[in-house]
Amino acid sequence: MPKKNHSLLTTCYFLLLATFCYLLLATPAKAQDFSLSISPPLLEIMLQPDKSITQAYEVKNEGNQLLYLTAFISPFLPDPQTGKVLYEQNQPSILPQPQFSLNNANLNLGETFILQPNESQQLVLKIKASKNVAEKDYYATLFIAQSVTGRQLLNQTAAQFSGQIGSHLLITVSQAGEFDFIGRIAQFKPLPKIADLGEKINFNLIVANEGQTLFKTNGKIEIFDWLGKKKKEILLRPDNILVDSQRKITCLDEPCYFSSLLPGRYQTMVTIFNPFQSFSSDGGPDTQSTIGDSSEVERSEALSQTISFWIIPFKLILVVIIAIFMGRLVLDRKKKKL
Amino acid sequence: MNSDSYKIQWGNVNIGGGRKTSGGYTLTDTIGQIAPGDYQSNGYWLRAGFQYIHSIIPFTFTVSDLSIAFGSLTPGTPSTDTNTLTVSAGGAGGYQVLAQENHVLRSDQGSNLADTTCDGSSCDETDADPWTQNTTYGFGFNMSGDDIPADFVDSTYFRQFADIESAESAQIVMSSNSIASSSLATVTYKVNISSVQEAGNYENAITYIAVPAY
Repeated sequence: MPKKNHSLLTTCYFLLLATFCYLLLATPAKAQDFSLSISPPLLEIMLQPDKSITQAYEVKNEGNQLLYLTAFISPFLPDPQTGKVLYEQNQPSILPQPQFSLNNANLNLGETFILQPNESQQLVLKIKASKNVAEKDYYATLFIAQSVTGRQLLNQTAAQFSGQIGSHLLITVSQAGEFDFIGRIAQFKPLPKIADLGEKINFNLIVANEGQTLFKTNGKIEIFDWLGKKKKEILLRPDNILVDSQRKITCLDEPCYFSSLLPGRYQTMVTIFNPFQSFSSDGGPDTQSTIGDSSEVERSEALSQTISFWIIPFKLILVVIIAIFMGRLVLDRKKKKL
Repeated sequence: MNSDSYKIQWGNVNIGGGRKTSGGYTLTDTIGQIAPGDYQSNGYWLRAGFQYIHSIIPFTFTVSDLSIAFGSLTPGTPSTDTNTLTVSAGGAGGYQVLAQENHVLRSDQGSNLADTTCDGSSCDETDADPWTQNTTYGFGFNMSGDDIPADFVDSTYFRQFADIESAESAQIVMSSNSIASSSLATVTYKVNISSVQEAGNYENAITYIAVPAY
C-alpha cells in the first residue's frame, strides 16, 4: 500500500512539474502591432527653379511584425490660427508643383515594399523644381504608410487599425533667394498685467507670417525697469512660422517666465530678428542693451513690440494695513483700560 | 543630398552656430540667414537648425493591436476595448498624431452603425463629451495618458473619429510642442447598439498618422 501511494505521489509530482514548465515556457500569442521610425523628420530647403536635390531617408521597422509599406507625398497647409498641419481631403491642387520621385533602383513612390522586423530601408527622395514652377513655398509630408494588404476579415464587429509616419518637407522655390521680412506680432501680453510681489510673469506671444516664405522666430523678450535699464532676458524658441499662418511662440529654455522682480512699473520688449538679414556669427541678442540705446540697424530690421506691466506687493500692503489696524485696536483698548 | 557635382549624405545634421562652407555646399545655422552669393552658385539652400538638435533620435510611432474585436454585441450593453499609441520625437518642435476612419462601422450587407453623438448629442470629431448612458448608441473613442487633447476630461468623455467619407479632416489625438520620449496614450473604443440595429458583422478601418512638428 505505501509503495502504491509513493508511485501515485511521484506521478502527481511529475504532472505538476510538466504543467508548471509548460506554463512557464509557453509564450502568449502576440497581437499584431505597427512600429516604424523615420529619419530625418524634417527637411527645409530653398531651391531654384530648374534645379533638383536628393535626400536620403532611413525607415526602420521597430516592431516584431512584418510590415507592408507604401511611401507617398501629401501636400499640407498650415492652420492659419495655430500653424499646425492641415491635410485637407479636397485640397485644390496647385500645378505645377515641385516634382517628387524616389531614386531607389527598385522602388517608386506609391509602390508597396516590405520590411521585416528590425529591418531598415533607405529611401532616396528626389525633389525637382521645374523651370516654370511658381516661386513660393510648398509644404508637403513624405508619408510611409502601412499598406492594407493582408488585412484579415474578422467575421465579427471590429475596428482595424493602420499606422502612418511622416517627415515634413518645407520647400521654398526662389530664383534670387532674397525675401522681405513681413511678419507681425499678432499678440504680446504679460500674464498677469498687474502681478503681486514674487508672482511669476508669463507671456502670451503669437507671431504671424504675412510674407512670401517661412521664417524662424529667433528673438528675445527683455524686461526694463522704470529707468530703462535691462533687468532680465529670455530667448525665444526659433520655431518655423509658415506662410499665411500664425503660431504661439514659447521660450528656448525653461523657465519660460520672469520672477523675482521688485515692485514697480516695468517695460517688456519682444524682438524677432530679421531672418533674411546677413549678419555676423555673434549677431545674437545684445546683452548690454538698454531700452533707449539698442542698435538702430538691428531694431529697423526686426519686429518688436513693447508693453508694460506692474509688480505691486498686494499681500505685503494687506499685511501692513492689517498690522496697522490691529495695532490701533490694541492701542485703543489699552487707552480705554487706562 | 547631391547636385550635379556634389553629394552630402545626411546633410541636415546641425553642427552648431555659424555658416559652414566646404567645397560646393553650405549649411546654415539656427539663425537661417541666407548668403545670396552661395545660393546663386549652388541653386539650393538647406535650412537646418534648432528643429534638428535632437533629430539623431529617430521619429518613432507605434500602434499596439492592429485590430479590436468587440465580439457579439448585445443591444443596450456597451462593449469596449483598448490599444495604445506610443511616440518618440527627437525634434525639438514636438509632434502630432492625427486619426481618421475610412467610414462608420458598416456591415457586410451595407448597414451602418453611426458614430456616437454622446449623451447630449453634443460630441463630434473635434469635441469630446460624456457618454455614460446605455441608451446612447454608436461608436466612439476615449483617450487617456500622455499628450492627449484637453477635451478628454475623464474616462467618460468620448469623441467620434473623423470620417473620410463625410469629407472630415483627420483630427489631432496626441500632440506635444517639445521633445517626446515614449509618450504613451491609451485609446478606449466603445460601441453600443440599439435593439433595432440590423444584425451583422460591422467593421471599419482607422488610420493613425504621426507627423513631427516643424
